[in-house]
Amino acid sequence: MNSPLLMVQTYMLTHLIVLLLVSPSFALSPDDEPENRTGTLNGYVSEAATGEVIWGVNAVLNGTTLGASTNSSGFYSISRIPPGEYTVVFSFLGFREYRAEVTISAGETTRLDAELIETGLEMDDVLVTSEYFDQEARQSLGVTTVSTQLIRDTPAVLQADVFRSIQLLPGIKAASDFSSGLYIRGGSPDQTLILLDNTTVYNPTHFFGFFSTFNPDAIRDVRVFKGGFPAEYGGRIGSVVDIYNKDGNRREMRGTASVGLLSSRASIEGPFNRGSYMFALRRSTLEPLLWALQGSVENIPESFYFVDANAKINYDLSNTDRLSLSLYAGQDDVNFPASDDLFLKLNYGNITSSLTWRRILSGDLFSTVTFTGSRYFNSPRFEFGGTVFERSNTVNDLSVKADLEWTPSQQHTVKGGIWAGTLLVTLEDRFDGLVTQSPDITSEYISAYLQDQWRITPQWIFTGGLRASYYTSGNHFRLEPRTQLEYRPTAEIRLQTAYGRYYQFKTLITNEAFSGFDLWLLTDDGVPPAWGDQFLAGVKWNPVRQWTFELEGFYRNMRQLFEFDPRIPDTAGLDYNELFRFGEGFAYGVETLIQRNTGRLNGFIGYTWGTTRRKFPTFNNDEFYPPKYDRIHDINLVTNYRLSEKWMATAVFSYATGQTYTEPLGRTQIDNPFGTEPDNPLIVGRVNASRLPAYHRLDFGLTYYSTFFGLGDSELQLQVINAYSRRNVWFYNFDFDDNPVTRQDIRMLPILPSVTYTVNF
Amino acid sequence: MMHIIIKNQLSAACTFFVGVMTLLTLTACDPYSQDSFVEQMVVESFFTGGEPLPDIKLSRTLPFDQPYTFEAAALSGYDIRVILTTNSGETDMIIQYEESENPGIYLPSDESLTVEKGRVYLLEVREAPGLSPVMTAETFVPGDFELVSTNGDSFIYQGAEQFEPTFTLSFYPGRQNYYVASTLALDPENSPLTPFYAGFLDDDEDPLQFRRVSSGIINESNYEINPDGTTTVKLPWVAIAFYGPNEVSFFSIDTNLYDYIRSQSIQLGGPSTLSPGQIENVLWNVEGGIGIFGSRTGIVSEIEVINPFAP
Repeated sequence: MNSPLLMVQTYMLTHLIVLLLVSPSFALSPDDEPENRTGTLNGYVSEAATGEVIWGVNAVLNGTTLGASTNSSGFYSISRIPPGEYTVVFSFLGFREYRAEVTISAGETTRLDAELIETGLEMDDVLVTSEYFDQEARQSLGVTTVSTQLIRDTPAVLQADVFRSIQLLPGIKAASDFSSGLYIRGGSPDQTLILLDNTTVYNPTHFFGFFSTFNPDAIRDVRVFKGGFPAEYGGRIGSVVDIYNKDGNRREMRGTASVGLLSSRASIEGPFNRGSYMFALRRSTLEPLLWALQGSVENIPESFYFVDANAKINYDLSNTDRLSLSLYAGQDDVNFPASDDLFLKLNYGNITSSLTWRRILSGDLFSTVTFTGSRYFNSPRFEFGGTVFERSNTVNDLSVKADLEWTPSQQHTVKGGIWAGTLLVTLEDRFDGLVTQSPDITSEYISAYLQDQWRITPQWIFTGGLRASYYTSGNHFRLEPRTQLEYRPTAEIRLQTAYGRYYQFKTLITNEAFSGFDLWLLTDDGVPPAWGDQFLAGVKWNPVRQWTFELEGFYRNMRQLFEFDPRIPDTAGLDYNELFRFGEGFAYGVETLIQRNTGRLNGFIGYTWGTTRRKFPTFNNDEFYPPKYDRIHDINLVTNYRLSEKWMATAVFSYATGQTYTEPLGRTQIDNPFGTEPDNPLIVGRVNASRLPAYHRLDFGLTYYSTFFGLGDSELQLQVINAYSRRNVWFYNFDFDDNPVTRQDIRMLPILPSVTYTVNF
Repeated sequence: MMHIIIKNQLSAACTFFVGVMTLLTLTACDPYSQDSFVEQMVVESFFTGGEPLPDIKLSRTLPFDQPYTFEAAALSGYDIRVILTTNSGETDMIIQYEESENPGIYLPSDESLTVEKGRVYLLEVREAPGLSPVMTAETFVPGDFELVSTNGDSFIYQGAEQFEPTFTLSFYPGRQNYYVASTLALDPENSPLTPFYAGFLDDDEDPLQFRRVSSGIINESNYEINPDGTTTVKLPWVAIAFYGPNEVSFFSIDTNLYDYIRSQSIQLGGPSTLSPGQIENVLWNVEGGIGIFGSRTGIVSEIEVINPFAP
């Protein structure tokens, strides 16, 4: 780290600590100590029907400027309330406003747990609401929540999918119809931290990347930090997707069974004494199709399935202590004779677990301690004519996290925490009976953060934070300052800007086409962490409840991006740092979103104009080039029309500039002395300077709501993917057996119908 | 009144946001544009230590969408000379090349000369004698090395024992030695293909296209140096295309060959993490054009590869 940078970061850390200490709300003399003359209100907010906690609920003391919003545990705390009688108003889009009378006494903490009732379906044009995005959560720059309703409603190939829904948001792009990978604000998927119940998930995909691993039946909250994320998150230079599984219904036992064309799922949840449980299982059901095709069609997999299971158990130790145990396990397994001579066997998956203890330490202090474990394994095996390539890659990540949230006054919300763990990354490649590489890297890591949201005035809010991270592998210590400033000239408008520095100590070696072979590697000696700065600015405008307008611009740079050097022909015998190439990049763009939140016709249109570039020494003449997923324009329109109480129609239209590719310009021929046939080297100009035809696609769906023989509610979803069968081009392939060389279009999905039947009992 | 204010605000918001979207859509263009084909001169020559000086091919690149034949691309009438330098970089010998009867193929004027191992050769191509070179390149011919012993001369394909020659170390300045194992089938007409190569072959294709195959690049640093200063390297099974008698060569390669092999193999995929459709130019170490002016030094053995499935 260079010394000016260290000086700036040290200054910011010092400044933050000084700020906390000298701020009027922190520096009160004992005589003026208002805690003795004020009270505190806190509690949990949950759904009335299920008892599930709700993240992002606004709790406001009516007629005052005092208020707070719930955290990911559904907890809120309003401190320094003058004694008296108040009406607390809890509001959250999609739920009826909840009001409660409370009496605040000096020096005391009043506990008020609230239960919100979901808005019933009323065909009045105003009361039909869209839960696609939670309004309060969107108040921060670069943050979006994705509701389970959006995930369920969005037409999807074969089954509802979390990441496919996230890909519709402005600033987030998909690599192809076949990939659920998240390319957020010019970053590759490895630049996004994926958390499930506070645990890192290293390969969140099934079916080589076609689906994400997250079962929509099991999910409670999905929050996406597209950029500028606060100091409480770290370890990635791009973005964060923070996912929480359902806690389980605390009122009654409920279940869901869903049968799709190629996968099915079931879940059950319910209460027990002082707690709740949830269990969800999902499995592909390809076997009948495979059996039908085997014998009549060549090269059909012998077996091919994915399965995942989610479980969560919650137990209230006391009124102030809650325990939560979350488990996830999933894997893909395929045995595929791709030809008479080529046999592919692949087994990959994730296992995660977390044990979380949440405790209300005092009226204004809330703590969370989480023990996490995450294991990723990936073992492809190719056998071609008796010659075998095998790989075994595992990531074992054990950690403990402790976070404190302190609301000492209405002006400050202070968060601090520590995350420490041990990480073991193993890799062994074998080819033709020989080990070609086998680096094993163990690293202990520790990170700590401190951040304060300072409401300077009702119009000005400043959030400052600092994160420090240390990895023993390579002995890398880094400081990451984060700031955000918000100005509210009117109640409807928020102007925001943010800056943050981010470091990433892991890298993903992947092929954009398939994620089944994803490989994670770590920093070490000679392999410093990647880093980048992000600058954001935006305006949010809510002129009326029904409408939301957002405009955000971003610029980010990326330094010391490290990945396997594709030009290293033989990795055997090389030092670990010799396996990599180190590059840089940048991305900038503007995103707009117009959303209609209520009404029979609701939905949103998102538009992104963006650019992203990469540069690696000796590649593309040392010039920046656009990666394949760079798209200048990207538009997504999601509409939802409630035809009647029984029927709902959904349509999704996507348009994007064609992805980049390299156009071969010329050719020559070289008689390779080590072969019999000549080589046909291509001559290209700028790398990825041409564009495939523009991508566009229309999906629509109809949902029929009914009952299943009186046993429960049911949903029949009829969906058509790619309604006008636009054969979007994935990439071009070249056939050198022809002279001149011929080009083949490798296309993506044609029109696909899909039927899903779900019963909720 | 409030209704009108809200309506006006909505209208203003819609106008603003739609305006921003429209402005960006209409004005934003991609500054990174596609360039067009530019013809380049191509040289091709491979020097093998101890062997006679090779011919040199001179041609031009052709547009990608045109049929390619060397005859159509050949460049005639150039003045080509190869300069053997001393260890201090001074000219030791100038070898003039003359164009043969085949356009674009140039032969050394003195065919008795052989390639000297551990020496530097320079290439100069001129449009006419006396003019400045339009193309230059240089190669260091890897240092001499010798076969010391082998672990046998007959091996069962993919059996427990692989062919392992022991040889002295070659030399290359500034880096470890890189080797390529190359196998030439000596009786391909009467020997079947090994399963790996048979898998590549369609019914109507000629198996002789695999008569000579190679291992890809092998790092010397992956093998231990024996106490006597030699090294013992395994011949990968993937470097054997035919059962029966095979001539096996281990070549130490120069940097030009090393760069060519490692960059050409990933142009259209291969074992690479590059995205589908992302193509990088081959690493050509030639000034004034492209192509390869490479060299290698090798050892040779003969082995018999036994088909384990043969009756």
